Amino acid sequence: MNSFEEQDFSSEKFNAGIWKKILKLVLKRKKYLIWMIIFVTGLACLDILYPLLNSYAIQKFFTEENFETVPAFIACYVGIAFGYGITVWGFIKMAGIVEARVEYEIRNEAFNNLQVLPFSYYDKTPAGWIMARLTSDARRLSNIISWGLVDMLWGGFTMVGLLIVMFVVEWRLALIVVAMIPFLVLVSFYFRKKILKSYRNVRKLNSKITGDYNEGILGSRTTKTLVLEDDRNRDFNKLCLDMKKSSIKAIIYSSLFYPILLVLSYVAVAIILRVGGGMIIGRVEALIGVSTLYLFISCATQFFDPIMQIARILSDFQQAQASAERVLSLVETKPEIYDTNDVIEKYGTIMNPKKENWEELYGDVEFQNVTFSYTGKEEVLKNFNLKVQRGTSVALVGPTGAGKSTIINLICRFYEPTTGKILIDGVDYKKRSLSWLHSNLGYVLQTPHLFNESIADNIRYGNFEATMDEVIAASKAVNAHEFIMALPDGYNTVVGEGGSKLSTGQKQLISFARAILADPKILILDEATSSIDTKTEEIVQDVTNRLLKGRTSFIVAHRLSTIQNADIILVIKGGEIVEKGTHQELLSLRGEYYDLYRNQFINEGIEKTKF
Amino acid sequence: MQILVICTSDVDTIKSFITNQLPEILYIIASFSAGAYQMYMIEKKIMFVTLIVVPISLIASIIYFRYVEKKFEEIEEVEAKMTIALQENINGVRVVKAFNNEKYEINKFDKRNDQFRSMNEKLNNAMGLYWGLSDGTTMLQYALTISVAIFLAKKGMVSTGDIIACMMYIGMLVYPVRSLGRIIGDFGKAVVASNRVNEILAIPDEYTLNDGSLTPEIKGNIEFKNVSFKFDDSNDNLLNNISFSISKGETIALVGKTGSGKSTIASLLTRLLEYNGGEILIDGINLKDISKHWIRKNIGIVLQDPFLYAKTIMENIRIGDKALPDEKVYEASQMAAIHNDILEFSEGYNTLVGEKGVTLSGGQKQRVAIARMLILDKPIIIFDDSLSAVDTKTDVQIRNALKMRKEKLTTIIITHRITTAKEADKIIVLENGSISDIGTHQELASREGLYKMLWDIQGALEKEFDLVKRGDNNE
Repeated sequence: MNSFEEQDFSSEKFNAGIWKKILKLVLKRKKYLIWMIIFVTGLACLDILYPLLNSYAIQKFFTEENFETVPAFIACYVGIAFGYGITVWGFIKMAGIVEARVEYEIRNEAFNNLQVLPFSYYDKTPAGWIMARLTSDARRLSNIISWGLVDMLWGGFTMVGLLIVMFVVEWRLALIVVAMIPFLVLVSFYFRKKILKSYRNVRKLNSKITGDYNEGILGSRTTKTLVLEDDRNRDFNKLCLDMKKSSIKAIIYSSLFYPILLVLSYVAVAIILRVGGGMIIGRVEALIGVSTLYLFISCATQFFDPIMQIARILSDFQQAQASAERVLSLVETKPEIYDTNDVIEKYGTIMNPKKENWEELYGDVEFQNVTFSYTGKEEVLKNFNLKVQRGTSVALVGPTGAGKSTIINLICRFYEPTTGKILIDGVDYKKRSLSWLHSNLGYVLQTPHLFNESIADNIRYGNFEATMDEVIAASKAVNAHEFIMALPDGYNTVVGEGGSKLSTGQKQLISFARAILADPKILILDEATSSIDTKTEEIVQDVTNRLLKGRTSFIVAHRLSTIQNADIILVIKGGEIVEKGTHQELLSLRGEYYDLYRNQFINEGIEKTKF
Repeated sequence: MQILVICTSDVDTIKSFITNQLPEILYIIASFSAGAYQMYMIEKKIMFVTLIVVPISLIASIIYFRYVEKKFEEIEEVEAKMTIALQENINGVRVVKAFNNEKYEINKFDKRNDQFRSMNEKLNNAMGLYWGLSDGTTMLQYALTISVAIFLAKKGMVSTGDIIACMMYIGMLVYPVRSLGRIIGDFGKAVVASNRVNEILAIPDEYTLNDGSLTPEIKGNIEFKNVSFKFDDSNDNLLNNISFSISKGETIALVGKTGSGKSTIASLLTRLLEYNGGEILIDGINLKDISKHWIRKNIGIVLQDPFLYAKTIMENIRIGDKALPDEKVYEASQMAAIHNDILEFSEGYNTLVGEKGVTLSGGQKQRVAIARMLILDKPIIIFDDSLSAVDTKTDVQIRNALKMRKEKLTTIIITHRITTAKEADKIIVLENGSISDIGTHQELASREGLYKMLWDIQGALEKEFDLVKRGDNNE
């Protein structure tokens, strides 16, 4: 039921606040930024110097045939060549550093914030969305910012420099170039906007096509058995046809753009030739040389490139704004569950815990009039009261959605009660730090979560200070040692993504070993419903019983034997405890538990024994 | 997932080669030859001098872009590592938080993120060096050409106009060469991509391959005669000499352990798989003579993990026949015991399911799939363990609803639930790809074998239950 409403970030308006924050991030790399500006300015100077030098050669050597300065001229040329080499290398390197570091920082900050965000955030936000923010958005944003900045600076400097040169040399011809600017700007922005819009449409269709492909592959069996091939084909063809149409449209815009700009800039050149040529021949009052004409032609053609670039950058920035808004929204999300300042002062933060002030945790858990709601409307727990003494095992049973997971979430302080209190060892747990509670907590999941690391590291996830001997002892305690040693690399075997190289049963044993190593005072066990082979099943049940000994434990229970062995069974329904007692006591009530047992456990018992 | 990658990103690679690199190649050829020709016509010497740098640039560019490609692969690996750390952190957020390992996670991610950063910076530095060097060399080339031009001018061998023209042409010869290395690399990638796409296109579709042509009216009598099956790439038979028959309107149950071949039988019957030995007869007609489309239209199958399309529930249920009225949909949903569940969704039958919509539970999905099948009035239906995620009460309710239908359907139920199997007219017990026993519940429960064993376990549990009950009564 996780329908995630994505906030609308596609606003086209300029968001000054966002850019201010981004600018701040970029400015943190002042050193590299300054070097980048120096190199880019140098490059722009060289771009201007180079036609000047050529024009000098034309004037001095080829027109006046005065060869005195040839050696100095060639030396200058070689100098420019080296200058180009250095400035080009320099600005690319610097922009790359700024890009990589901004990206690194955005990603790190987002990740750090993710670690303190509470569960409600993860429940509301799809993992894919978060992933995309930290990978592609962080990437795109820093890329556009740093290279956009380079192009902007280069374009700006070059334009200003060229204008100065042109006006100094021959202001009348310069005016012709300036007169073309408004047309170029207009055309550039018009086409950029059109191109952006049409490609957005193409991308939308593209993601639809990918979705359809995916459906076609995953659902191929269903499609075949329902004989829907033609139907699906028709839908897909229509989508592809739309894609073709809008792609062509997009391409027409972008292929028109460049030629039109070229025509415009060559119109300028043609006018310069006409007027300038006239000047040379002498129809206009003052005479100019061939070298000046050459200078103008190359300046004019060079002048229009930056305009196109700037138009592109501005539209890139416009797109990047959406990325920026999304990423920053993630970085700036405030956690709803956090330690108060008083608590932090006494117990420290996650990064710097003050363990010397931590009280020992014994494991008495008490719910006092706890009411809880995920949405603020529907109450999942209503006025819930429960007192559990240290060392007691509590089995939670009941239909899905009854509130079992909510109770677990509240004990773990993944969520906090909407009203009421939860006491641990008689003290409201909000008065202690999250780290304190979690350091004393063990959690064994229904579907064990393994990291793509070695088995030893996966077990050590329960306690990073544990020695290898302790890891082995924990594995032995859960009967996992044997199968681990049978693996090619033993404890150093990397388990693959999601533990794909291990069977479900083996994964469960590893997650048990992890919990044993953590040696928690409070243990949460979310039992698996999926069946595993009989032998592993026996081991798992045996280990479960041992694991529960001496700890306060809460079990979302599915296995008959676990339930029978629990000290107390709570039947949860509609957010309330409807029955409470031992297996025998509850059966004799002939109520909910009795029904549940009859309907579910008998069948599960059978299925587990044989298949 | 491999298929998806080929269909999307490989096709994209080919497309972008055609739209971007192909014109680029043409442009390079045109620009290079036009420039060279013009310079040749003006002054051969200047042209030859200008050409000096071309082979050097070309070789440098090929070497550089090879290097970049290799570096890119390395970076991708590092990036993948970082992404995995992120993904595992998000998916394992419960474990991370419950074991208080946020600090560890932050340090781990920082390390990988930093590695990714430093590799990017390195690659970028290499890029800077290449373009810097290549721009520098190009300018040196200009210097050389101009020096030669000056030398020629000194001797009065060229005119000013020619020199200016030549200087404009230098760029046309020198610049394009620098990107050739990249284009060559892209060309290689496009070839690989198009080979992979062609591989898919070359596979013959199943309807051109041994499809039957008959479309007889299907009544629902099924007979398996010594049917065997194995996959092409395996030596072991998955099914051995399977023989049984089902008459129109009968209900049979297939029971057996996972991997015993129950689902394979369903796949053979719908010709999703081709049997290698024996024959299957439908109403006496050889299955292979009947058109595949026709047989699938007449056999309804519900899979254990059915697939729902990213459409509304209403559209999903009547996907087999879009012309069916809403009333029929409601009726089928009621029979599949999903009607009330659907009404509880905020948008009822118009609720979107699938990736962008509501996520249904396994049991709800199964029941929607059952409704989708029941609405089509097929003479033969197969439940391929498709009630596994539905609770026992609902299971019974659905099966009773089926019995109420006036026309008797031929029904095959593949199940793990002994209580479900018990109700069938005939039970087939499969062990390791062979039929170990066939009979009614009464018969099977009274002779030794897998079925009796299962039934006894059920009995034992019932007895324990009864004991408790009796205990209560005595109190």
